[in-house]
Amino acid sequence: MSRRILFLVSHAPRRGALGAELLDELLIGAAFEQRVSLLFVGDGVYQLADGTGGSSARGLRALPTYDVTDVFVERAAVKARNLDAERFVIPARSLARPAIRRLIATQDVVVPD
Amino acid sequence: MMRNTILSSDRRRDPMNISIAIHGDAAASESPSLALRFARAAVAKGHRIHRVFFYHAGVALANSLVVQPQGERDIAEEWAAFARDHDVELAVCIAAALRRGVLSDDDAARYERGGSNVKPPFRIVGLGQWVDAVVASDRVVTFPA
Repeated sequence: MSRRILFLVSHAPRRGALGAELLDELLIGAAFEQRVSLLFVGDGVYQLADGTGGSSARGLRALPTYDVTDVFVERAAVKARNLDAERFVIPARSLARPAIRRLIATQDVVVPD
Repeated sequence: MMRNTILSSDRRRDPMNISIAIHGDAAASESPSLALRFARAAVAKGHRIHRVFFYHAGVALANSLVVQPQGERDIAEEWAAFARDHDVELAVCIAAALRRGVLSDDDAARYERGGSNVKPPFRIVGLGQWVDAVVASDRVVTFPA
């Protein structure tokens, strides 16, 4: 049976192995044919902007290779931190709060970081 | 939104199969103790805990070399007792455990380390067992660090 699993990233990068471990969990889910997606909210958006090669940035660049393309980002969080979405390490669909609420409501499991 | 009413019985009266993920270590987080309270409440309501998956820093609960000061709570021991009483599987991610020095007999031999330190009934498993729990459970509740 295929479940919808959303990985919810709300922490800034540079937490040692935690970012890489979250992506390991996501990739295992994808490998076992679960419907995985990834959402960055709050300070978690810094992981998308981390161009300096932290462990999670390297892992994020690999996601399209594994056909993980459902990547979302909280629009207000990007704006509040004055980040440039054009320079994110991978493309992420920008969502307003109501759309985030709808996304979470459709999931079977939400995994916070 | 009914997915958020995890244990309320008005929408679903049937007992549920629940899996739990623990991401924090008792030394630095309330994750293992909150998860235990949740697990006890769930069992008291007639639900079944299918599997508890220890990930990230949570793998430290399986470390048999941890010693709590006298008179302080030993959450790992409480989890072990809960697992025995209710036939719950305590599954520990192998990759996260190796990274944090929690080794089964097999791993200690394979990586030529001086000893193993997995506290029974915790068991070292692959990350695939987490996906398996997700698929087999009606609810999966994660307790972040």
